[in-house]
Amino acid sequence: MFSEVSWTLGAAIFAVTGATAAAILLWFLLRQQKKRSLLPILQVLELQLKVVPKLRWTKPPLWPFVCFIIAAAALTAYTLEPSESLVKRENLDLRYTHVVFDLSPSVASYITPADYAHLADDVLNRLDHKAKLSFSVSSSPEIFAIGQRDELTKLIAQEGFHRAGFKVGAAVEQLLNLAPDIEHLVIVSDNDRASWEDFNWAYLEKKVQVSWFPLQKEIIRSNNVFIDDVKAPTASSLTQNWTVTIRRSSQGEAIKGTLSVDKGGKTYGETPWSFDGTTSSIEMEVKLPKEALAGQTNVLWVLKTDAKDDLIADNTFRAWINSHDRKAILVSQPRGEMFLEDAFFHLKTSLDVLGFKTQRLDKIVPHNELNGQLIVAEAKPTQPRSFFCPAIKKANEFNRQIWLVPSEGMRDYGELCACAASFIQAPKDIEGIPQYCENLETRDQYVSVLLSLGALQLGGDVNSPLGALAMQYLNKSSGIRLLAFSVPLTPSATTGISFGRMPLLLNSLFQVAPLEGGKFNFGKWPRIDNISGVPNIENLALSNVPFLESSFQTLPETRMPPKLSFGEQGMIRQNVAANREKDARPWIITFLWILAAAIWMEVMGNVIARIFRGQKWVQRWFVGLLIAGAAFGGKPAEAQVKLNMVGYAKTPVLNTVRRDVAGRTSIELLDLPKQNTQINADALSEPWLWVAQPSLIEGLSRTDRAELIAWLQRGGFLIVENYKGAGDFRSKIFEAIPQGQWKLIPPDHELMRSFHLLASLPQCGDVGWEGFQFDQRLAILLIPGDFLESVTGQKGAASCFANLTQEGATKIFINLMMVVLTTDYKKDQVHLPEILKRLR
Amino acid sequence: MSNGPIGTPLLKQLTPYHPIEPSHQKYVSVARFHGTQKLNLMRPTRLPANSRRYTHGDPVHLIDWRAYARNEQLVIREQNDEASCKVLLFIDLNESMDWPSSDEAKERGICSKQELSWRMTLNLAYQFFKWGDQVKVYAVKGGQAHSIRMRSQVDAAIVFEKLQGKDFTLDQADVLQARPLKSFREESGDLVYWISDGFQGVPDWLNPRSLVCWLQVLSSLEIDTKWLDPDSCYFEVQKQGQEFMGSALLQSENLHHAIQGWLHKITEEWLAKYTHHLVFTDMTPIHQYIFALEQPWLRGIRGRI
Repeated sequence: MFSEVSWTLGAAIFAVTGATAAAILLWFLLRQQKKRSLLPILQVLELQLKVVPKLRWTKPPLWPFVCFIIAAAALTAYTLEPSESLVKRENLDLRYTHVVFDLSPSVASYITPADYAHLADDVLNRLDHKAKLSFSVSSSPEIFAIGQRDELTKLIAQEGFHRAGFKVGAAVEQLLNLAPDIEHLVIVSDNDRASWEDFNWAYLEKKVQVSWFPLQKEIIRSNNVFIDDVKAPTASSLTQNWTVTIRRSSQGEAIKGTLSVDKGGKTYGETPWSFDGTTSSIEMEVKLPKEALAGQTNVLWVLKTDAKDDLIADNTFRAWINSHDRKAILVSQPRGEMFLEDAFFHLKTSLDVLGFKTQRLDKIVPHNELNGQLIVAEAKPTQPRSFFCPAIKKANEFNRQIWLVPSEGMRDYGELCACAASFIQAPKDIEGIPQYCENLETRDQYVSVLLSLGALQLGGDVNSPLGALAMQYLNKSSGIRLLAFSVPLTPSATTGISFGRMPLLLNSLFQVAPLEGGKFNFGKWPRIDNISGVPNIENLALSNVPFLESSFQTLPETRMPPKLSFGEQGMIRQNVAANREKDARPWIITFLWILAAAIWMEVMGNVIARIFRGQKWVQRWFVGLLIAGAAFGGKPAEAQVKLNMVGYAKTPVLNTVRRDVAGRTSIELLDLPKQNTQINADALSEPWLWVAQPSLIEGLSRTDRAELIAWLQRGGFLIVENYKGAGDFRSKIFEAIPQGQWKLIPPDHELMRSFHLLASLPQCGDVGWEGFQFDQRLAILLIPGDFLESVTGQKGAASCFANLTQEGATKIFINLMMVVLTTDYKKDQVHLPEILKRLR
Repeated sequence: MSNGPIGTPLLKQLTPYHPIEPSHQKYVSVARFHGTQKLNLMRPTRLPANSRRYTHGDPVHLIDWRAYARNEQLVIREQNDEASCKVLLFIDLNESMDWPSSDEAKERGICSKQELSWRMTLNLAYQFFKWGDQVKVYAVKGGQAHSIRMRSQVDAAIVFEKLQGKDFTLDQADVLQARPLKSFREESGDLVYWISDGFQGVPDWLNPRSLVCWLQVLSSLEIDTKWLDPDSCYFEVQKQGQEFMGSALLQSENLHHAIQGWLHKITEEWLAKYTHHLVFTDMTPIHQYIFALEQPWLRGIRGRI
């Protein structure tokens, strides 16, 4: 998207470059001034010596200088000014350009309709050399070709600004649906939040170039007083007072005016109001005389003020005299107590959000009065029609729309189909299940039947009715509009409706299938935010001005599309927000930190150097101190393999074992083992631990055992010798680590193949080698005899492993060591990179 | 304050009370004691103390013929007398004299040239007053000579104590009146002492008919250049932009040679106009200073025909 952005030099980059050059010069010149001393005798001497220059050319220290150069380069780069080059004029000329004129109320504060028409004509003139040019105005969904330019006067100068709001995003979406080949979109508008908030032009820029032709010049909007809300008195109210909220867009000065009701040119109930300096809204109660309301469905409130008022359109406000709330009745049998599983809970919440008064019924009982404007009925499997299907033959003033919704897991759509048919074929009565509704087992069959009954597809792709969300049918004779949904109205993965989209979906449904009030007025007098969303709505021209349009909130220019203006040579597109995604600030801050650190190091280094100037011993002592610190403070490397033994009577002689280990593997086993008489912190500081007798572990105190368990869980490896199958320590270990498991070492265990391939492990009587498998590794190994003695060749006469040769024992020992060091390295393939390296 | 080698008191410790005794006074017993001016009265005397060798031109009637008869040597015996003489002491207070600065001087255990000059001036003033001479002290700064209130040896002592109390810096309150230096050209004085470092060159406003002696005061740091730091720069206020590295000054004793050359040159210049020249530093032993000033040639042989 920024491929068309080029970088030009601005004033900032010259400042940065200049400062950088000066800094580098100073760095080289002024650094390291010598200490200066007065020597008066020099005034009489004629010395033929080289004079020390005031400025010395010194080589700067490397790293701070490198940091400085990097920071300076970054600053220089980031001070480049983004711009779009004008050389692409030819390309611009060939594109299909469309101009949208915003006629929303907030624009009226900048320009009069006549001037606007003039300006619009001028803009079109300037763009006339384009290959294709068209225009549209926000008050009309139509696209006008450039030949219809004469329409401008009518559309703008005569019809003027509309009272409904304008949403650029929605309008552009519609435009692009109508004319997808638009390549350059020019929006003539102000930058008010109400119009622009929903427009993600940066996303659109990938296909269409969007430009904004700002309407405002240097006009600063000062103040706007408007009627924000009017509440009619309820029937039960004693005083029958109207509540009117007046707001203003700014604060500061005190203003006053009057509020009244206009009926056919006559003024009723004139009430004065005044803002003092700090208030921004007034709520006042007004009593209206009866003659002001007689013969009217709505009342027109008019605000008058002597103070400056930027927007006149919002000084009038319409309100219904008798309005009714929208009511929805939901018929659904709850599935259980959990509201999340309740199919209609979310539908009910969404309808609440949309301003409906909702009533929930489990099933339809004959004496229930179904007086809602909207009835939503859910059919459950195996429910008879009488449970959910409202028996309404004709729309009275309330019943205008019926929604039939299948529930999840429907196997038989017969009853549902019969219910839908009863509304479609009304006033004809339908008894039982009609023939065409029999044996409807799938949704597709249900949709097909509705289609053949004359219902229209709602949602889904054109010519693919099976993808429809619902089928709708407006029965002219009964006046009932039926929406037969093909999927449950529940947020779920199968329906594709998310929790967040539910109210939006309903809102768009009401736009497609509007709930008309008939002779009753429902809700509030329309206050239309988006004129392009409701092109043919009644009372569109009389809509109240939306609050956001009146409140004059503006978007910052960085969030607006590139500004379009006309220079002498042609079009100029100035992108304030170019490359804002690549925000340079974090980098600049980082480099400033580096710079500060470099300066600090430089200053500290200089101070220290000054303190110890000329004292050569300092360097020697410093180096000596470093060496001494390393010698005394450093620890030797701790990587070593040595035996860690507890409870052994004598020290094993490891000469031959060490030689074998070193000869066969690349591991150096230390001669001297670590020996402890009992398990303590020292013993547990090594990764493995050989214990002579299981009794040593059984006799541990509670805390010591906890320590041992913690060590095992941290990754320790415990080897217990002379285990005879008795004692309860196995169960205690299991209690402590329940996720582990005791089992005999199987023949395919890694212990049998980690280095040497072993056929079997020597048994001691009938006790085999047992292991505690935990955390996908062997954590404890129980050896039934004195294995270590066999390894070292110090086998006593009473040794259990009578048949085990020293060679065999060494093989097992090496395997064991490998398991301890690498777990199962053949399975883990940890050595694979090394093998591959050798092969290469 | 440190002493010189083997504890010799140094010139930086000089007070007015260090006695200077002209050598001839040691053996001339004169009842009158009126000054340092030695008068040869051309009267024969018998006293052997007043005898000296005959030089060509001496009056024949002064020859001790008896002595000639004894040892064939022409010996003259003439009667001597002393008279008070007019002594002018000029002390140079130009900026270059105020060096080394007091901090640096303290650190190195030496004194500034200005302090040394004052010590010498007041010592001379005190001693000359003691001998009964008329002494006038002028502080020279810029083109003006400011006379210092001093009428007796007590005054000299008081001025010394006062100056010592304030680090040997002269206030406006200490001086009487200013005179342009040119007015001294015709001023006669028997003994004139010019106490200065000579950085302003040889003065042309002194009356060359007097016995003019330049006591050149230099700092020991100017005579000895070993103390220079090779890594420091050295500069002088009047020569803007001329700075020298210590290492360059030290290299092959550049500075030392330059100073010696300058000393030689300025002495030549002085002696072309005036008569005597002595160099002192703060490290000169006091006895050396006294010895030099006690030499009779310094006292002059004026009055002799």
